[in-house]
Amino acid sequence: MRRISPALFLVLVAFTVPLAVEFRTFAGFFGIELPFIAVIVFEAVLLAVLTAIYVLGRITPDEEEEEGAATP
Amino acid sequence: MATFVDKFPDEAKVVQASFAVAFIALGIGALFGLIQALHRTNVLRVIDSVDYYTLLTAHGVLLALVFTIFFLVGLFTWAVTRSFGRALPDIRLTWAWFGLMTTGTVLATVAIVAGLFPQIPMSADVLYTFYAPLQAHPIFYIGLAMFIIGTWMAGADWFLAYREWRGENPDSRIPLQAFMVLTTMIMWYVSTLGVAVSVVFFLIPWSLGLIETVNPLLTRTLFWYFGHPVVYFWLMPAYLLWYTVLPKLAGGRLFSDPLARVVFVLFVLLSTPVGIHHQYVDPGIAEGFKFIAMTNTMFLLLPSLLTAFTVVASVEHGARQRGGEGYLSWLGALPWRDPAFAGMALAGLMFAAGGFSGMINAGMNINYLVHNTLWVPGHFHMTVGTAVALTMMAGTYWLLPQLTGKAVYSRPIGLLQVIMWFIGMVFMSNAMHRAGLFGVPRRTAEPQYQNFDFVAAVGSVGEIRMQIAFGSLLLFLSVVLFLFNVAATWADDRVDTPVDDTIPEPLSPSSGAPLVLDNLALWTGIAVLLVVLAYTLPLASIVNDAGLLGGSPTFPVTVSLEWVVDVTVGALGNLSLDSLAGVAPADAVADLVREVRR
Repeated sequence: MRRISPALFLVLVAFTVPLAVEFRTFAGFFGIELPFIAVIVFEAVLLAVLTAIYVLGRITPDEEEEEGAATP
Repeated sequence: MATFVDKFPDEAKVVQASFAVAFIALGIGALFGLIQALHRTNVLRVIDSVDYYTLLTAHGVLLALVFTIFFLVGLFTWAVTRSFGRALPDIRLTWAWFGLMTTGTVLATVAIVAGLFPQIPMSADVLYTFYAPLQAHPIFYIGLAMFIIGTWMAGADWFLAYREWRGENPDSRIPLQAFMVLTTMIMWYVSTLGVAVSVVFFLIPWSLGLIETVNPLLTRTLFWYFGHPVVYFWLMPAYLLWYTVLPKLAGGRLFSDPLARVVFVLFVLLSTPVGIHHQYVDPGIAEGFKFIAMTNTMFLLLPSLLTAFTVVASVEHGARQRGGEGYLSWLGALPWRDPAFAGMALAGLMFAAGGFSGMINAGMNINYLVHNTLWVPGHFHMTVGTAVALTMMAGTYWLLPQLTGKAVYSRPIGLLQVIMWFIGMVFMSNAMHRAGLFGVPRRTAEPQYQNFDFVAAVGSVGEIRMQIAFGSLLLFLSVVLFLFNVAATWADDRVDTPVDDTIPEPLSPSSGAPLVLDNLALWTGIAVLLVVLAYTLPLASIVNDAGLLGGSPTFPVTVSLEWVVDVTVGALGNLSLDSLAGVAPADAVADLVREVRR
């Protein structure tokens, strides 16, 4: 798994916020009305996925990165 | 390694002083912004609603005019000195414009904040747009006039530096950063003529009582003649940093110097003849003139789209130099841990969103849907409030070490700060845009109405309010972190190499740019011509309709309702059983009204 730096992780967390905030509007275009709690659940799922990628990247980094390739 | 403060210590002091004023204004303005947001969302009310406009005016003036423009003059002083590689012609002139601008700022701010204290006979609750018929204390206008004259002197200082440099380098291309400064100042000189005429010939004499009335539409039009180019005056420092610093921070080089020059020339030409697009609903301007302004505005999208292409291409080049690969995975190779880079990149991203909402503002027909709603503050908090402000804060993390010789106190705090700003603005600005679509008005402390509910297409109005309040809280905390980091940096000890301040040559250098791009006199002439074409007939029509001085009295005015009370009490006094036998109360009131009128 590609290793991401804590800084990039933080930036990706920031990017999840507009996705979550507009999630209900997006669903509304298709006539699906979601409750407010759906936004919280969606944000939690996004953060969980990101965290999993971050942790997996630390536990099992790509071979090239283990050899010292630069990560931002 | 010697950095800016070692090479140009006098200029570094001026830039530091300019930044200091800018950051003080940022702190006060941000606090007022938080108080307003919590007040109008009804989360926390620590002021009276009557004082809302005082805080709103202070918020707008301190952030949109003082913070941005003081940062600009500091940045431009750095850029001119650095790119010409020589000290400014006379540092006394430099301190003179700084002193004039600062004095003007203090006067205007005192006039505004005095409105919070009833015992002081002074107020300036005219909002940052300060056109008639709202009237401020003369000190406010005089302060603004000094501030603008100070910026003119700053421009003269930089043009004198250019003249000296040109004398020694007759055949060289103008260095890119200096070119950006000079073209921006040409735009500023052309555009501030409108507001200078408005303030000096109408608003100051009117506020001093030398003339009794003004033509509100004329002062409004003269304000917007300046009011749209000022947007680009805010934006050009951000563009300067995006074009010349961001590619370096990304690890690469600017993609194209000639394209950058074309963009700045286009802003000189197109920034001013578009101001009427702020007046689409003004009844005194013919629709044809508004249509012309809309067309010109749409042309302004071109330099912004060119910028998006050039800056993204430069950043991608930097990422690939750092080992980035693939269609999008190169994004992961960028130096996100650097707050200067991360802040500018996030600011640029949000500028794209702000640009889209700006296109909606610019369209005449669709503008009617969002005019004077919360959509508009939502838009400009994305543009000036993030693209400009966040770029300036992020740029500070790279510039301050050069100006002080000290390393940034904490880069992790800096990173947290820029990310917190981005998230806070996502919450606040998104909610403002959505509220604007429901028709929620801007510029009011009490956006709720009796017997009327705003209907949200998705979610609820309550959620929107909470988003605005939460977003504004994050933004304020971000400013607190920023000011702490800056203050701690200033208080720190000097180090040998505080930052790598080199800027590499562009991939496509200035030698590839047509020589005509450096012909500043030509672009100034065309810009003036376009302004004359766009504004002569509308201004003539406005003056022809209502005269140069119009007929509008001063606002806010006090309207006495005493006679209404007298009439009502008198009428009720007649309501005896005997009088009801022959005279209806309505008739009695009507008689009394006629009597009072006589």
